[in-house]
Amino acid sequence: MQLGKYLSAAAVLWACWGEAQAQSQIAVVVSPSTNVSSITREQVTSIFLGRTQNLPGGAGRALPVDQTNEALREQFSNKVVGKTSAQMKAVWSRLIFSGAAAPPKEVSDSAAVKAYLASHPGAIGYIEAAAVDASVKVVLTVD
Amino acid sequence: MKKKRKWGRWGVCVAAAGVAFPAAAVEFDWNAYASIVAAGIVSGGERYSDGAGRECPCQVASYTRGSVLQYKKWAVDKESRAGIQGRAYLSNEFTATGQVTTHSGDGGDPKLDILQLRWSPVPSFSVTAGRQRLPMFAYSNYIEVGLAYPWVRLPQDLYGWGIENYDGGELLGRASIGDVDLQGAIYNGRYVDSDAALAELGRVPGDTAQRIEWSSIRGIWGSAQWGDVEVRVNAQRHRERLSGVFAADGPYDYPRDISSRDLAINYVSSTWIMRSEFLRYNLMNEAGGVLIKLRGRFVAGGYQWGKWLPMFTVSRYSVDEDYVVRGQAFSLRYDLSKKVALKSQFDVIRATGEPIVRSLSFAIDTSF
Repeated sequence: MQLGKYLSAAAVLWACWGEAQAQSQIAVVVSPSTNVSSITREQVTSIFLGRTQNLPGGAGRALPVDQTNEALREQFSNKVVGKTSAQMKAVWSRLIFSGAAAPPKEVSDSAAVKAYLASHPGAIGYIEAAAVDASVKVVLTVD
Repeated sequence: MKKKRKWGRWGVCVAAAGVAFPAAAVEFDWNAYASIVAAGIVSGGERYSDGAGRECPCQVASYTRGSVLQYKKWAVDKESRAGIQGRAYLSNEFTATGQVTTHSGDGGDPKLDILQLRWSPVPSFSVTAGRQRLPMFAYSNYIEVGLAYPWVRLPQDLYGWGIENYDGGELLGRASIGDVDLQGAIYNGRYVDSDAALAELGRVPGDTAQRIEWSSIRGIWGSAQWGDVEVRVNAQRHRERLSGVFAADGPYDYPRDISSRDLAINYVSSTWIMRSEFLRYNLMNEAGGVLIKLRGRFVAGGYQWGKWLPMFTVSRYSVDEDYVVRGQAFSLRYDLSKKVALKSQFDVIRATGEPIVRSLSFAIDTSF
C-alpha cells in the first residue's frame, strides 16, 4: 500500500516534469513572408546581442523582438544565447548608451510577439513552442 | 557668446531634421542609466594636505571628471552620475540620437554627450555625424554606464584621458564570416573643452581654467566576436593643445601630437569571465619625436555564480617606465534584477615612491 502511494507520487512528478519540459521548449520565429527557412543558434545569438543587424542569407535587416515575460526571457537567454538575462542587459546597455544600436523592441508576451511580427517584415522573436500557429514561421526550436 | 553659437548650430540641425522628417511619421523611444557610488580611502600611509587642500592619501576616482577620493572621507559626490537618451526613428534609414548626462565629480552640470544623426541604407553599413563618444579604448564610449561592466570603476590610471567626445563623423561596416561577426569603423573630428575637469587635479588657487582642444582626430577601430570571445583593436592620432594661465608661471600653450593603440581581449561566458586590455599612448612633438611613453594593461578574471560575480583584476600603468602604478582590485557584483546591480570593490594601489593606498567602494547601478 505504502509502495503504491510512492509509485503514484513518482508518476505524478514524472508527468509534471514532462509537462515542464514541454513548456520550456522555445521557438524562434519570423513572419511567414520573411525569406528565412532556418537559422542557427549562433546566428540568433549574434542578432540578439546586437553583433549583426542582418538576417541570414541576405534576407534583410533583422529586428529583434524581446519579451517582458521574465520566465521565458530567462530561458531564452540561458538556452539560446548562452548568457544570463542580466548579462544580456549589460551588453545592450553598452550598445544603447554608446549610440551604437537601438534596443530590441519589447512586447509583453508571445501573442504580442506574433502580432508584431505580422506587421514588421524582418522582425525575429521567440515564443513558447506551444504558442506556434500559422501566423508565424518557426526557424529554430530549442528544448 | 561662444556657447550661444554652438547651440545655434545644433538648433539649425534639429530644425533641418524637423523639416525633412515630419513628426507624424517619426517614432520615439528613450532609455536612462544611473549610478550612485560611495567610496573612500581606508589606508595609505601618513596623512597630508595636497596643494588643492585635499585630505590625503588620495586616489583619483575619475581623471576625466577631475574627482579625487580622500582619506576617510566617504563621498557619494565623486563618481555618481546619470544619463538620459532619446532616439527618433526618422525613417527606415535615418535615426537621430541625443544623450544628456550629469556627473557629480565635475559639479553635476548637464552635458550634451551625444547628438548624432545616423544613416544606414543597408544593415551592414552606416554613416554617423554629430557629437559622439570617442571609441579610443575598449570601455571609453560607455564608461559612465556602470551596469554595462563588472567593476565599480575601471583602473583609473589606464582611463586617464581629458576628452571623451568628438564632433565629427564615423563610417562603420559590418560583416559575418561563418560564426564570426566583424565590425570596423573609421572616424574623424575635433573637440574643445574650455574648462577641462582633468586640470582640476593639479590646479592651485590663482590658476585659470584650462582649455583642452583635440583637433585632427583620426581613428580606426575593429572588432571580431565569435561565441563568448571578443577581440577589439583601436588606433588613433590627434593633436592636443592645452592652454591657460598658471598663477606662478603665467600664460601657457602646449601643443603636442598624440598617438594611441589599444587591444582588448574578452571571454564572457555564463560562468567564467576573463577581460583584458593593453594600451600604448605616445605624446610627441611636432616633428614626430616621442616625448613621453605611457603604457597600461589590465587582466581580470571572475566566475559568474548565479547572480554573483566575484572578480580579481591586476593592472599596471607606466610613464616612461620611471613611474609605475600597480593596482589590484577585488570586486563583487550582485545582479539584484536584470536592470539593477549592486557592487563593491576593494582597490590596492602601489605607485613608485608612494605608500600603498587602499580604497573601498560601493555602487548601485541601473539602466532602463
